[in-house]
Formats: sequence, structure tokens, C-alpha cells
Amino acid sequence: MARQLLKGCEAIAEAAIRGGCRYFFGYPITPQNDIPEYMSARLPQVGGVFLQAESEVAASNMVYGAAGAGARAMTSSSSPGISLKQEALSYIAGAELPCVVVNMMRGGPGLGGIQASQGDYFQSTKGGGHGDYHMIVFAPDTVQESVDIMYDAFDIADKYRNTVMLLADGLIGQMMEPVTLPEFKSDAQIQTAKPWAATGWHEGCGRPRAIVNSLHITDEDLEALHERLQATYRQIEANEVRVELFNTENAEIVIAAYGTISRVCRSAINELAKQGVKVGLIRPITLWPFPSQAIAQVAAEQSVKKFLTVEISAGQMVEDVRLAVNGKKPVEFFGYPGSRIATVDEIVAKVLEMKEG
Amino acid sequence: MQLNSKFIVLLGNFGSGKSELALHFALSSPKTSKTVLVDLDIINPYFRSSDQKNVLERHGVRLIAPMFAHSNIEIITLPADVYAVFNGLYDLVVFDLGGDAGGAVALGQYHEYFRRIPDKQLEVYLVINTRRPLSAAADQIIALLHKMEEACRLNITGLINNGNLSTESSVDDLLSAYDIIMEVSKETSIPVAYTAGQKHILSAFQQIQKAKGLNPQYIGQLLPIQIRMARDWQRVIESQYRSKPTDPKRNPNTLI
Repeated sequence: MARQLLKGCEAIAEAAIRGGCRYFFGYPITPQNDIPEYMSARLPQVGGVFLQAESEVAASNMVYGAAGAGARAMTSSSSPGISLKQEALSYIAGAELPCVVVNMMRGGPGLGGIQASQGDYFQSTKGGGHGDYHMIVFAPDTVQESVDIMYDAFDIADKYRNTVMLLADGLIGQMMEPVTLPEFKSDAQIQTAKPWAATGWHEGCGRPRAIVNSLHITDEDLEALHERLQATYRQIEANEVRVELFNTENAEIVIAAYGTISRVCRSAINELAKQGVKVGLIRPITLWPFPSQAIAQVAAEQSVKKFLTVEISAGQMVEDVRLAVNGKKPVEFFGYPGSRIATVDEIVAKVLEMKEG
Repeated sequence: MQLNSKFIVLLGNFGSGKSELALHFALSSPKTSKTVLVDLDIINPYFRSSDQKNVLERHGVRLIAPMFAHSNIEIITLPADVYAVFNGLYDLVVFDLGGDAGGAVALGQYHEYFRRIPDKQLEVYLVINTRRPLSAAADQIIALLHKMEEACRLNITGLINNGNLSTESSVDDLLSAYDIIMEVSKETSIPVAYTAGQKHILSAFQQIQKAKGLNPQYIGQLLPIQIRMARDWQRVIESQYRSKPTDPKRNPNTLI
């Protein structure tokens, strides 16, 4: 396929369709509007359904319904809208259904602002909705990586009957970059067997009645659900961790960062290399499951003296980095809450200060 | 009052390069001339010509932009001072609009003012990047062109070949756009005003033009532009240090 210049949101929407998405339910909010806009034009061309719901809660509950019927369904929003969608996300976890959600993060709390941010790390990786569940959370750093993740997101969701979230700061959605789009997945690839789906039961259909429900009347039933969920989460942790290591060999200081800010860090690392300072980068591509093992391994390296986590938030992922490093090395934080993005120069200065200290 | 101002309006689909060209036209005017850039992008929250406010001001270019452009809220209102650009005080007025017909519609309300501008002083360009979806073929571009003219209530007077792939641009982008834009120009009788690109790409284009005998009528004037809209992390993509994402489970050679 030829290279094209695509905006992150458009590229994500097209990759979702090529990966098998045929149902999109959404509600407008900046900076993710280009996703529903693109879907509204594109889904009918491939026999799919786009529906603008009356609210975020409605949209995410429509995803719940479509997923329960076995469809590849998704929704997208930006931070305040994702908060509103949490009801259905928790129910979807309770009903063990697969779906895909995109969050193009903007500043918060409350309505916050429309500029890019990474303030929803806790919300995405630690639950968001109520009730002890996990979503698989991917955090791409380029438009191409967003495409690659979206293309496989429905397969992964189906495999584990779990929600997959693509979590990106608004810049990823708004920037334009050259990308190569994959071919459409074949029907055989996307029509996975879903014997649990409520597709209409009739005598002799060869399966028990499918009941989509997140209410578990007895304690035993609820406990059984959690046993299944926890077993699934252990499998996901074993199979789905993705992380990129850059220049970590013989590094003196290692930066942990994800999404757009990791690209700024990479520039800072190249700048520091010119000054003879060896700095590495750990870039989690999955935020849950978190690449704790990879971080622990790097922390065990003799050369590594300190860790630095850089975020576009007040310091959220840094907690998981500290847990992974487990006291072996000091872990510092640099970043701003809201939408201020640390610059290359600031990160260089911070690393130099840590080296002195 | 005699209206001597020159007006340039830039239309195009998302990502065609309108803002880059708007900055180019505004910043290549002589410092002594009175120039104003009107950012009427009501579509994009990020990556707009207003981001370059400081550069424009240093060059003595006035920027008129929606009051909350590049801020933390999004209110689709147009600034009242747009009307001031029609009073003849400026030598050059450049309009940068949002993408597609939805962006072009912002201009419609100034229709009465545009009507008073003598033909020779108004250029309405359609910026075309054939590496973008929905403007990759002549019929798509022509459909877009008519929708835009209808939305902004102005006739397009010239086409600009701005074929590019951002950080991966090459002369191939301009060459493949040349063929498509020639078809658009023949079909619509709208001349090709410019072929735009970075200096080194344009000189490669010029050489191929001579070798292949490409028709200058469908190339127009060559417009060497300096990339201003790029963000610092875009350089990172080209970085040779870039390593491949690693799946720790599949690759035992990494530090896992």
C-alpha cells in the first residue's frame, strides 16, 4: 500500500474498520471529533453502522448491547466524555464482553481544556468504573503505531472477551504523519466464534441460551465471575505486555515515558548523547498490563543509577515505575499537570541536574 | 476609498497545507508592506497558523484570529476585526481557512465585501495534496472544489500543487500530483498557479520537468517554501537511533 499523509484520528478510524469494526456509537467532544466524523462517512460505505447517541452514557451502552450480540463495536471520546462512559465500561467488564474504546486525552479535571494531556492514566489503568476489573490499555507514540494497534485491537478484545482501550494524548489524534494502512481483514479473520453472544436462540440451534448480564445474584456467582476475570488478567499479563527499550544498555539514567512526551524525551536523549551522557528510554506501549518485568530488569543493571519518569500529568505512571523498580534505584518525576508539555531543553536540564545530584 | 489591497484566500481539504502556504505568503511580503493574516480555521483545535503568532509579529504581520484560538476552549466565533481588512489599509491580506467545505463556510458571510474587490486583486487558491485521502484522484478533487466554492461563495481562481508526505516528502509526491492536477485543470479550466515544496524537492522537480518535458501550464510558478508548522518531535521520526518496538516475550535478546 502507498504511503499516505493521515491525521491520527482518521488513521485510527480507518484502521479500526480494516480490523473489522462495523459498529460505532459516539458523542462529540474535542479533540477526538475527527474519529466519529470519519466513521459517519466511512462506515456506511462498508456496510457498517454509525450512530451519534444522545449522550456518552447512551453511546457506551449501545456498545455494550452490540458487543453482547457479538458485533465488533467501538466508541471514542476525550477525557470528560470517557468519565461519562464508565457506567457501561464497568458493565461490559461484568458481562465479560469484548469492545474497543479510544480516549484522546485532554486536560482535566472537570471540563479542563481541549489541549493534549496524559491525566487519565489512573482512570484507564486502575479501573475507571467501579468493581475490580481491568481494561487492556495501549498507548501509541506515532500515528503509524496507532494504526497497528487499532488494526489488532478487536482481535485482542475478542480473544480475552475484554475491553481494549487506545489511550493517547490529543496530539496523537491531531497530528498528521505519513502512514501505511494495512489491507482489510478477511471475513474469516474477523468472524470469530462467539457462542456466548445473544444472537437469537431457537430450538435446535445447538447452544444454550446466551444471557448478557452483569448482575450476579449469589455471592458464589460473583466470586466465580471474579475467578474467571482474574484468570483472564493473568493470561493477558503473560501474553500482551508491549514495551520499547531505547538505548538502555549501559545507560546511567533511564527515562520512562509514553505517548507524545516519549518522543520529546527521545530528542532529549539524543541531545544528551552528544554531550556524552548515556540515557536510555523505557516506553511502555501497554500501560495495563504494565511492563514491570522489563523495568525491573533494567533497574537491576549495574550501570543504571537513577530513573526519571516524564509525563504530561502531575505524576501518575511514576507510581507504577516505582513499584517496578521496587526501591532498587531512586525514581524521580518531571512533568506538568494540565496541558503544558515539557520541552527537550527542560528534560536535558533535569537529567543533568540528576547526574550532578 | 480606492481599494488597492491584494487578497489571497487559501482553501483546501484537511492537511493540504493551507496554513503552511498562508504563512509563506504572509512572511514573504516585504517588511515595509502592511500585511495581515486572517486565521479563520473553525475546524482544527491544534496545529494552526495562529501557533506562529510570534514569528508573524516579528515580521510585522498582523494576525487576526478567533479570540480563543490556541487556548483551552473552543468557541466557533469569528473575530469582528475581520471586517477591517476590507477597508483598504493593508497591502496584502491572506485568509487561512479550516479544511473542507466545513472550513470554507466561514468565509461565506464576507461575501458582500469580497464582491467589491476588483478581480485582479483577489486570488482564491485551492491547495491540493494528493497524498491525503479524499483528494487522491481528480474526480474527488473536483467534487471537493465545487463544494468549497458553494460553501465560501467565491470562485476558485487557481490551483496549487502541494503534493507532500510531511517528513517523508519527495519529488514523487509532486510528480504524481502533477498528473492528477493537470486533469483537474483541464476539466475545470482553472489554471495551475503554483507548484510548492521545499527547495531541494523543487529543484529535483525542475530537472525532471526538463527531462520529461512536463507542460509548464500545469506547473505554474515554482514556490519554494520553508517548513514552519513542524513540531520539534517530528524530527524524532527520522532519527536513525530509532529502535523497533519490542515484544519481550518474543525476543529473548532484549533486556527482559
